[in-house]
Amino acid sequence: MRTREPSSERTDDAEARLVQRAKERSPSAWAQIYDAHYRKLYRYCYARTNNESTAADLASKVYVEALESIDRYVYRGRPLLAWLYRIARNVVSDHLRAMQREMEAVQQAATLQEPHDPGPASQVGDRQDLEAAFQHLTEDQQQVIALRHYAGLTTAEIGQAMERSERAIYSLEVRALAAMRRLLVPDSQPEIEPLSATK
Amino acid sequence: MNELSETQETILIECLRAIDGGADIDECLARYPQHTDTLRPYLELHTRLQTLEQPEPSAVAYAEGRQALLERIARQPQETRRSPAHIVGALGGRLRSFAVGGWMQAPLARVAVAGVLLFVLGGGALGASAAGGFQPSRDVLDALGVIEDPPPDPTDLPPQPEVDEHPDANADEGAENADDGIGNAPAAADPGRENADDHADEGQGNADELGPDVLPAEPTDRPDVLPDPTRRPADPAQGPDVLPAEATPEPTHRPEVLPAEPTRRPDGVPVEPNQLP
Repeated sequence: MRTREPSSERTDDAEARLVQRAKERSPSAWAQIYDAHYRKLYRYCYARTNNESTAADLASKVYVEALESIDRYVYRGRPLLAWLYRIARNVVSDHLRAMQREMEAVQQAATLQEPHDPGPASQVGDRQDLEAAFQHLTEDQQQVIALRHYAGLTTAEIGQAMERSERAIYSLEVRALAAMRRLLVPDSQPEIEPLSATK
Repeated sequence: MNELSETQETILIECLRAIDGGADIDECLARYPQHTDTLRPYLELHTRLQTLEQPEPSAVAYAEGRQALLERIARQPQETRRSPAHIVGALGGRLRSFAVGGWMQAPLARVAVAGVLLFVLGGGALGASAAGGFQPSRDVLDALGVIEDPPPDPTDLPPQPEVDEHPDANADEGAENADDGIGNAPAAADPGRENADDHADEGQGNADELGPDVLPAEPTDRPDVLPDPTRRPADPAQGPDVLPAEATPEPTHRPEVLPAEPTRRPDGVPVEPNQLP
């Protein structure tokens, strides 16, 4: 039987109390949740939408949705952040679907974006290429890359957020890397060794 | 289509795990020399993504979102208080505390409530008795010549506060009749309905108090579930559990249909339980 670390239990207790206060509509609890996770949620939304103002709007909307559904949320020891990411995923998906319905393709958002703090000139092209390639990934692949490389979650945390095993998260990342590389280096295929060469 | 073989995928996953654990690319690839050229570009892409400068939210957007959330929280309790669901819930809570945790806890209040209930129920029964006082089943059977006098029951006991039937069956019957009686005539004009209601309670009580072997068993072949009109309403003075002793032999002669003319009772006088044989 697996035993839990005392520090983990303390964290769980603290988060359970925080959730309880959030259910009671404690402003300080919600301020604490907002301050703790806003940046990660914003980055996740930015990765998925490639637009700063949209990302800010969607990140705020995640909290509104969380407030509306906190009464149905049952804390079972999984990080609150995992729940917030599930909400974020739905919020972003709804947004992207709405954009598609309005014939404003995600591609258009990518071309019209104004990169925030573009950094050194050598990075600008690199970043734009990566973000353009990112937009062509499947939703699950985008989810993993956004959570891992934009929001900064560990694979274990992503697994909790996506309700998958850590191994499955790694597998999704590998496939995402392969797809991005195919887009970034179109002639990369010949570099790949045939299966027989690996044996 | 995925250009990586399963083996390469597995090695790549191991390398990513190692990098997450603090290893660098060369360290990791050194363990798989034959895949180094293939896997290196993927691991470098991973590193590029990891070192990508992350966008920072604007302070304005951050503050606005925070403020909007807190304002929404401040509004929410008022909205909740006004909602119909909340009103119903609050009303239910008040009634519950009023009945359970409030003045109903006081013995005098309970006695008063019991008295009112007794008055209402007993008054209805007495009214029904005074209005008709009939024994329809007996009337019908008399007319048909089925019975003249109830045969003495060898197991008959001296007049007891008892019912004429198997208590369990009585309970069921009472419950059934009570249900059936919902669509019938008003209770005051329908002694059967009154009896049904009375027996529903009474059967339950007797089942506990008397046991099944005290009284004759209920005939099991009764197709009807209608109220037994042969039962008289209880005398309010005796309480709802007390029934006339005469009713004891009745079940064996219960008619299968209700009489159409309840006013055919010959004497038309309400029968008091203590006047019955």
